[in-house]
Amino acid sequence: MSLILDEHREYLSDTARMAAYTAAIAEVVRAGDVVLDLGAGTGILGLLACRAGARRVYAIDAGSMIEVAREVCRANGYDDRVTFVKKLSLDAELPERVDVIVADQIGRFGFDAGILQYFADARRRFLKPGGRLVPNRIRMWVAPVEAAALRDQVEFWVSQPAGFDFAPVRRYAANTGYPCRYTADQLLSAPQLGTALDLAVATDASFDFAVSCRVLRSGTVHGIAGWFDADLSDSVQMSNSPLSRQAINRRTVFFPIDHPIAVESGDIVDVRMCVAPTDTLVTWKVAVRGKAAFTHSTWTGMLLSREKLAKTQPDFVPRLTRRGIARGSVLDLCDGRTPLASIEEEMLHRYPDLFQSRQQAAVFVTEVVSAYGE
Amino acid sequence: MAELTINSCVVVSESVIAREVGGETVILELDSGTYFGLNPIATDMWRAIAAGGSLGDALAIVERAYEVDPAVLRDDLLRLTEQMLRRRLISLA
Repeated sequence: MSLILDEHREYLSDTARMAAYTAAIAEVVRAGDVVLDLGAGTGILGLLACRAGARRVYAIDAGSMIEVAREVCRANGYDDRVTFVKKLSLDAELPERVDVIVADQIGRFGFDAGILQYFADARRRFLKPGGRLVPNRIRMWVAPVEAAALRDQVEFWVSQPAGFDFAPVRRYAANTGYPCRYTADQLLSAPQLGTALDLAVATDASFDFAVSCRVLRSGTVHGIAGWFDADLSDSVQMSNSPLSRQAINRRTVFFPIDHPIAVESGDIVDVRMCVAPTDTLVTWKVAVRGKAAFTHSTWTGMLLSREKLAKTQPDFVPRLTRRGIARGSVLDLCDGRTPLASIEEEMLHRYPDLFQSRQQAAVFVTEVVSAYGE
Repeated sequence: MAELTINSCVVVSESVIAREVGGETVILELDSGTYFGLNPIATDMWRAIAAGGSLGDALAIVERAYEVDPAVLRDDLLRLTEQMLRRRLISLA
């Protein structure tokens, strides 16, 4: 079973999401436009752009899903209008500038699927002056949340699973954002707007926001809920808000606090979040006024080995492993003259310690050439 | 900026998150997105500084852990503190 296909099946079967993008693209794309579908996946947003009258669509995707998108495009009779580019958009070049950029790299909290980085680059290199973006604005929302079951995922690690002490893991678990779904009654305050990201100017630089949430009922704060809404056009919004009746089928995020805090109506919960989009780092500082304060960060929860850390020291003197040397050889052999079969043969001959068969050499060479060759 | 002395008190900046990996510390300064690494000795100093109190208090903590000339340790602690102040990882209280 392909998990990637299944993921795209979920995207396409999400009627709220599809309705939003269908309406927004019909509103934004004009007849004769050139459109960039960024992170195209199945190519659905590009197809919608074709249907809206786009003259040309550039569908960029680095994954092998692009071959499926090609077939789908052909099946729908748009293959004369869509140009597929199998690259990361940051590495791609286009022969012309576009009128519209469409994408759904929004993630669960509005920034965490790379849209800030990808849009900033695509806007600068691909978009015509005055060009349009879908989405054009993303808002990040937060609220203190009662979510005992989610908190159990943190406390699991001190439950002596299999009779062993896994308590050291709790620190990581308490500094991680969890994908989840909430019901509206789990929120302990009205949603607070953390920040609104104007994608016409937003960059991938770090940003932060601070909000104060007034608790509306007695309960227990287990963490902070985070979600987004996005303006896909002037009249179309898309959201995964637990309060929205038209929410898309996308999970939100749970940011735990170290221990539960009982609250009463009228209590104030101060939330400050710092976000580093390029590293997908989130730091959340939560203070229940007069009761407790917590600081958490996905930086603390990140799995980071001492071996990896040692390689980042300024005085570290790196040298190539045997496989690194072999990789260098493949790159050298990509000289614009030598066919792949000869490269594989040469690698098998040069590195008998690494490759016991032509097949093994071929797999290695293909991996390098796929990444760096053209 | 006030002169840094052994009686100075410092606080860790709001924008700093530190974590230890294998006895070393990596500090992330959120505003700039810059990472700083501390070796095990500097890690002990960082812990002592971050505990609050004066640099003298921090020095006393570190002195208990190392059999080193106290004057050398004091100079090292002040130098590390100066570097951290310059990089805004800490500020004078």
